[in-house]
Amino acid sequence: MNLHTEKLRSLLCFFGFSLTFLTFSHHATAQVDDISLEELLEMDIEKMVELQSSGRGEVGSFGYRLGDNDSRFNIHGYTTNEFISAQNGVSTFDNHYYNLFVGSSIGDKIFAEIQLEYEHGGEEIQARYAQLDYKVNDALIIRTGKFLVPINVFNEYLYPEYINKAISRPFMNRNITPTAWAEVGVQLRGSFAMGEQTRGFYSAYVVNGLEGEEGGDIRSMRNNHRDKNSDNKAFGGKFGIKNGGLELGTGVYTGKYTADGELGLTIFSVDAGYVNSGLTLRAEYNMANMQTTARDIVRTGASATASYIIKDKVEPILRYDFMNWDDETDPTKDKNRIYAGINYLISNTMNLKFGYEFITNEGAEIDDNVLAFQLALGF
Amino acid sequence: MKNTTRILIALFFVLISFGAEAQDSKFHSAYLYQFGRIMNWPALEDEFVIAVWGDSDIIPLVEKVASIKKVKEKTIVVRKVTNINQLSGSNIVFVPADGVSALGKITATIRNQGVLVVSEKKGTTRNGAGISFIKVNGKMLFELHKANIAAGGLKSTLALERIAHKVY
Repeated sequence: MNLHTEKLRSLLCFFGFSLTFLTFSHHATAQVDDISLEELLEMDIEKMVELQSSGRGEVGSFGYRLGDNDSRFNIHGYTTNEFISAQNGVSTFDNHYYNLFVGSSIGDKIFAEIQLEYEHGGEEIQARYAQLDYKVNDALIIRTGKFLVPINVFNEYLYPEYINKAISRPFMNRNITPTAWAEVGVQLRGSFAMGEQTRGFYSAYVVNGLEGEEGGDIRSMRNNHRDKNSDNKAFGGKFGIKNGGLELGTGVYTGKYTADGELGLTIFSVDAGYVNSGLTLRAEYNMANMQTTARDIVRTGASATASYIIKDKVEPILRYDFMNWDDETDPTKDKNRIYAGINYLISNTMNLKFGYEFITNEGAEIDDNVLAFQLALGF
Repeated sequence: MKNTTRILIALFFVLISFGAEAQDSKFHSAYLYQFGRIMNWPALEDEFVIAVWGDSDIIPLVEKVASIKKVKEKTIVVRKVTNINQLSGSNIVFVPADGVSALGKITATIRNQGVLVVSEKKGTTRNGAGISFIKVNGKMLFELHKANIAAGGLKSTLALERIAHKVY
């Protein structure tokens, strides 16, 4: 076959392909082209929108197609880097948190948000909460999914390190109300006016609930994302009032915590806070009543914190906290602590903290004081 | 042979794009009718006037709409306008993409007169249009600017806001 014939064959193949492609694409668009203007005019405007694409065989997937909606997407996060040196442990740097908040709002009624938690340099990765809100009005918001338990102000509003005044969390906020504590279920919440200056707020919820070993550590009972062992659900609620810088609140949680659904756990919290100019005062008391086959275990804890911002930049802080485990086998678990620290406020969501913890163990001389530095940023 | 192939390829793409534009104009003209039907208008004169700024392929299509449909029981009249003095008495002013440079003076002229300015070019609600068209994933949609519609002496309706791709 000579060169001329080969070129002719190539050209014929090209035209054949082009004609096939043109015919095919014309037919594809003709399906909408076939709709006459007269037919369009007989349609509702909604139908006109629907008509224009089949939603099949197109670019992108679910996320891309959701871009058609009026969705206001946002992504934020916070990061916490630390140096911790404990008397009875090794010193370490810690990329403690790099967490992302990803969310969206559709109109002013629908809100979705997830906190993706990357802890200790990515060793622990999970969804800290993943919730969907529907706002009926200010007094009634329906929240579903995995949400922070509204037991006290620390768990819902204050625990991220770019907000928390101290480097560490109070003992009770780790082991009685195990912040960050989230459960899967349904919650009703809202706020309402109580007089000119005062606003009340409430939450009421039903969730799968904490589940773990009899008499065990409450903190390890989190992440019961799906009930597999027992139908029992946990219930709870919170009520609080806010007047200017003064805030008071009380919350309760109750449910069966063992897999057999037999033993109950009730957690109670009351908190108070006052913020005015640079002064912040906070106090909180938590109690957990845990049934066991032998007896009820009653764990209690409290904290009181005072801090003051000097010239918008420097914030000394003092905190006292304690926790009683009611553990007859190891009374030294009961601790009290004085935390003394100083914060440098780089911006309103970025701070550098230095803190020293003087820890006292009940009935034992244990050297477990802690020196810590922390850099925290909310972005 | 190489030149012939190139010419054919170019012709192929021209034909494709021409077909797409004709499709867009059909939807634009249908939308103009829907805006007239759904919006609340102050007291209308005997005719419902859709003014088209400058030369546009949409004119014969809107004239076809006018021959088939009425708005609020008023006969639709289509006018081609080329200067702001001709805007008086219009209910909708359609501004094609190549006329958006005139949006500023158009919106200033029709202020508080019960006129809806619809712009073909996406994003031009920022330039004063009450509604501008936008193509999203192959669909011809529109964005709505409530304050600009109010500046024209009208109030947008929930029905339009619900179906709009974006409401400003």
